[in-house]
Formats: sequence, structure tokens, C-alpha cells
Amino acid sequence: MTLEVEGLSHRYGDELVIDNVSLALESGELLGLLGPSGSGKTTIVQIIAGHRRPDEGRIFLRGQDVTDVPPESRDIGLVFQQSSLFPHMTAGENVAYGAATRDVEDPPATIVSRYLELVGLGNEREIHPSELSGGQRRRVELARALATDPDVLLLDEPLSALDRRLRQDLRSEIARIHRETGITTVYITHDQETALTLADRLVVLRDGQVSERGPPRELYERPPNRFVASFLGDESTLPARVVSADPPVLRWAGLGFELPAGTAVEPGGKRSLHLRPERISQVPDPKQPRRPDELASPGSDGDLTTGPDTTAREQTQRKTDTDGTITVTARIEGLVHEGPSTTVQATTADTAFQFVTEGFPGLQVGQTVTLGFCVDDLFVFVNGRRLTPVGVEGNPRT
Amino acid sequence: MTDRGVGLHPQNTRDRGSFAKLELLALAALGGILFVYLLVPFVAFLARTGTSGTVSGLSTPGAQRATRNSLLTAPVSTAIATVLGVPLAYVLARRSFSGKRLVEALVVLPLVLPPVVGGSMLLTAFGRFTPIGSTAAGAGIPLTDSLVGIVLAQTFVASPFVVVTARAGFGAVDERLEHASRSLGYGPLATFWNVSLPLARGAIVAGIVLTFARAIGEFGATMMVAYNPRTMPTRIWVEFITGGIDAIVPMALALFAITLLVLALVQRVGTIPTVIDR
Repeated sequence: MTLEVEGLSHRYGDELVIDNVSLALESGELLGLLGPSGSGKTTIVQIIAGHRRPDEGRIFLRGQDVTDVPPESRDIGLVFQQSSLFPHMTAGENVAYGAATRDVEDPPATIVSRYLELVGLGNEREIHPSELSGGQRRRVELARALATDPDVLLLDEPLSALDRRLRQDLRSEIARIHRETGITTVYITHDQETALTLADRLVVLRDGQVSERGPPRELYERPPNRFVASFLGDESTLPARVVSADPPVLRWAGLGFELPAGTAVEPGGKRSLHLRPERISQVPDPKQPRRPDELASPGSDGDLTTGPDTTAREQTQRKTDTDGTITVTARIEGLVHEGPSTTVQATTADTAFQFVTEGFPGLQVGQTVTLGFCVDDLFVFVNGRRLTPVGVEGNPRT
Repeated sequence: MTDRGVGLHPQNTRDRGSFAKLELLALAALGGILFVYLLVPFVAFLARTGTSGTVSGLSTPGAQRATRNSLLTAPVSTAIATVLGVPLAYVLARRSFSGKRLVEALVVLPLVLPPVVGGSMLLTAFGRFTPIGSTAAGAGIPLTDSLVGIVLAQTFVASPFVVVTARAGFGAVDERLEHASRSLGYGPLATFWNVSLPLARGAIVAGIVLTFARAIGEFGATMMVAYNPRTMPTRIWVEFITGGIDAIVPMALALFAITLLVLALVQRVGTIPTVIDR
């Protein structure tokens, strides 16, 4: 293990901000530390870097306990959320400042050139930070941190202050640099898109505790708890009510969703069913005659879909009670155009749906659409467990 | 509806513009009164000067001794205040510890204390008949009525300026820069020297200038601790008692000139970068 964090706890006054957090990174791994603001991410970074002493817990770097080692002796590279370039030094001097502490035979000037070129700023050596753009400053900071040849690189929300386009560019740049240098990296972010894109493994933090850990795709597609589900991606929430405890059945929009036998639910209680946007597709109005190719099913990436494929859905669309495909009619409330895709918000009497279509779909607010989704893609959390209904019966209330 | 919400009527805009101008004018008028009040005595005093009188007034042996004493003691006091005060300022800006409030209060106390009282306090601690004072005098270093006494008085009164100003300067240095330096392999001292000090330089230099100006002009505490040997301010007092306003004009001008010169020099030498890039 290159970096191990064991049982970290920390208090600010009476407030427990880090609660028994443990992490382990193998060499070359990029770990995403994901959590909303206030979940303790930055405090963990400060403790790993040595700028804050933990109340409890140990930090190991390459097997050595560094908990009591000052930051300058830790071999940890740090990139902050906001620029921390030294304003009284040029870009080159900033990089040289770190490079000078390395005990290698290469002269600092060589190291400076190498790392400025790595981040694509070979020509900006003599420029002062105040004359660099926001994105260039991030790159110089990255070069400065890498120039010390650290064991571990800590990136504390390095992209959050940048605009969307720049963020995407730098994200791929960071991915490339990570591939090229193979440096063990902890990437702290509250942005799920960045985390899902970059990380080999994710640790999701909530209120200073590890809520869950796992590969990004697994956490996204099979979120183990409600917090992870809603934090890692958008979802539609279907407010359901328990109508029977044995067998356990939830009712939503006139449909009964049967949960696995033995699930402990209280009749009359509320439970919500959740659904990822890409699992919902717009289907032609069932009352209208239609051709097979009219079926739009964006987001049903063959590789990811666990439910019936498009053709199956088309053939069995009305038979909600047997095959598990449900259709509802909803009114469009909002459209968010992102260029390649559009996120559509549509509501029924009690449920706000969110789904994604390609390009500009030619839909309008106020228009009625028919949405289709598969019961297998619904999930519900009962007693901290993620469940999928085993069956559905009844007719949709439209 | 939208039109009215977004664009102001032209008439309206003009009204607002002239109101804003009027408000600024009111502020300028208040500031102007203070400016005039500061200017008038200055001009009146300078009007008393005659070049020949100034030069001859400064060439007397007594005047030269006083000038020499001041030029000797004030830089020493400033140096002591800086060497001890800047680290204190850094600690106060960066660390919290129990009793910090007390330290802070004590550091600014000389600023609000009448210098004469400050001088009396120094006498009670280091006067000739106190243990410290008598020991020092026995060793041949009298702490009162000596150049050392002058330095003691000046340092006591003037050092808060460099501490307070440097502290504000360090406070304005982003702590993340220091963290970055530490994580790049530099210890606390190297970080202080390479990052904190250069970035707070403007404020520190300003503090040093203020301290020097205060030290060389120090009268109240110096008078209590070391009435002799004379410094420029104590000599000004003595000459005022004996010869009135006109007698002190040469020495006062000289004192003023020294302070201006130091300020000009410092501004030349240090290209004071006070704005910290964020």
C-alpha cells in the first residue's frame, strides 16, 4: 500500500467532522474521495498532508507511520482548491521551488522544463502567476507538485473554480498526466461527474464518515444506499405507499410493486422508488398507431441496460402486468439543453420524472409525453438495503 | 413592465447621477476640513523659517550632539523593534495560544499609554535604584540618563508600530501558500523566510518606517528615562523653554527632514508590493 489512512477521527470543538475514516491506496491508483461540501473532505486532505493533526488515527506512507512527521518530510504533493502559486515568483520559479528539494542529480532547470512541458506550459516559464489564466495556474501548480516527485498526489477540488469547458479540458489533462506518471493520487471532489470519470475507485463521504466505497460504475448503477444513489447521479423519485406487508407490496400510480418476500415494511408507510434518468425513455403515445422505428430510447446503451431491450419493450409495452415495462403519461415542465443531450423534467400528478434525450428533441414545456421504464430498473431502500421490485401488477394511472 | 424594470428613464438617470455627485461632495468636504486643519499649522510654522538661521542653529555643538545622538539611537531602537517585533507579529498572525489576548493587549498598550507614563513605568523597572538598573550601572552600562536609556525609551514606545503593521501584513498572506511551501519540502523557518516574509514585505517596511519616525521623534518617555544626553526632541523642548518657538525651528526642520529622507529612501529601495495576488 502506498498510502494508508487508519481510523481517522477529528473534531472541531465539539463537532466530530471526521469519524473513523480509513483509506488504502495501491501504487498508481487514483482514488476519488467524493462528498458534498461539509463532509470533511478538505480536513482529511489537510491531515494526510500533515497540515492538521488528527485527534485519532494513523497515516502510513509506504508502510511508514508518518502521523507525527511534519508536512515537509512527507513526500506528498498537494494541489489546492484555489491557486496557491507564490505570487512573487514566476511560473518557472514556482516549479523550481519544489524541484530544489529533490535529491536527484538533475539540475532544477531540467526538472522545471520537464514538468512545465508535461503540463503543456513550456513557454510560460517567465510569466508571473497574476498574468496566467485560471487554467494555466492549475497546470503550473500541478507541475510544481509533481516536480518534487511525491509518493502521493493530493488534489483538493482542483477544478471546482473553473468554468465547465476548462474543467473538462483539465480533467482529461489530469487523466493523461496520471496515466503518464503513474502517480498514486487522491482526488477530492464534490462533483460526481469528475469522480465517475477519473477515479479507479470511489470513496463516498457523508458527514465525516465513509458512506460507501467501490468502483464508480458499480456505485452508480447499484448504489448501496439512498445517499450514494442521490449523490452520484440524478434520479426520479416515485412516492409509493406500503399497501401490504406480507407479501410486501408498494403502490404507486395504481400499480402494485411486489418486493422480495420477507422484506420488512409497515403497511401505510411511505417508501419511494428510484429510477436513473437514462432508464426512462420517451415512447410514442400508445393510443396512436406507430411504426417500430418511432421508438426513441436514448440512454439505452446495450452494454449498460439490464432491463429488456428496445424491441422487447416495444412489443410488450402495454402489458405492464406481466413483463415489467411501465408507461406513464407526463407533462413536460422543463428542458435543459446540454448540446449533445437534453435533460427533460416531466411530471405526473405525484411524481417528477427526469430523463435524457439526444440533441434538441423538439419538445416543449407543457406538452404531454409518454414515458416508458422497466420495473427492473427501479430500486428502493429498505432498512439500508437496496431492493428491486420482483413484480408489478395493475394498470398505470395516467 | 419589462421596459420599466430594466431601463431607467433618462431623466431618472441624470437625477441619480447628480445625487451621487452631491453625496461624494459631502464626503470630500468633511475630508477637506481635516486637510486644511492639518495644513495650516504646517504652513504657519514653515513661514517662520529663515535659511541662514536654520543652518547656524544646527551648527552649534549642542545641536550637533543632539542630532548625532538621535541618529545613533533611533536606528538601533528601530532595529531592535524589527528583529524582535516581526517574529512576534508572525506568531500572533498565525498561532492561537492561551493568553494570546493578553499578549496582544500588552503589545498595543504603549500606543495608547501617554509616553510620560510609559517612561515612568520604565523607571520603576529599570531605574537606577532598581535591582536591574543598579546591576547594569555597576557593570558600567547605566540604563538611565545614557544612550542605552534613550534606546530603551524609544523601543518601548515605538515597537508596537512594527508589530501591529507586520501582523496585518502576515495576516493578509494566504496561509495556503505557507502550506504549499511546507508540502514542497520546506520547514517552518525556510517557509517564513521564502514565502511569508517576502509577501508581507510591504507591510513590514511600512511598519519599520513608522517605528523609526516614532522613535526619532520620541520625547515623553525619553525625557523621563534619559533627559541627558539630549536627543533632538529633548533639545527642542529645552530650547523652547529658553528661547520660544523661533529657537526650535531649525531643530524641528532637521527632524522633519530626516524622517522624510528615510521615507523616500525606503520607498526607493523597496518596491513595496502590498497587493497580494490571489
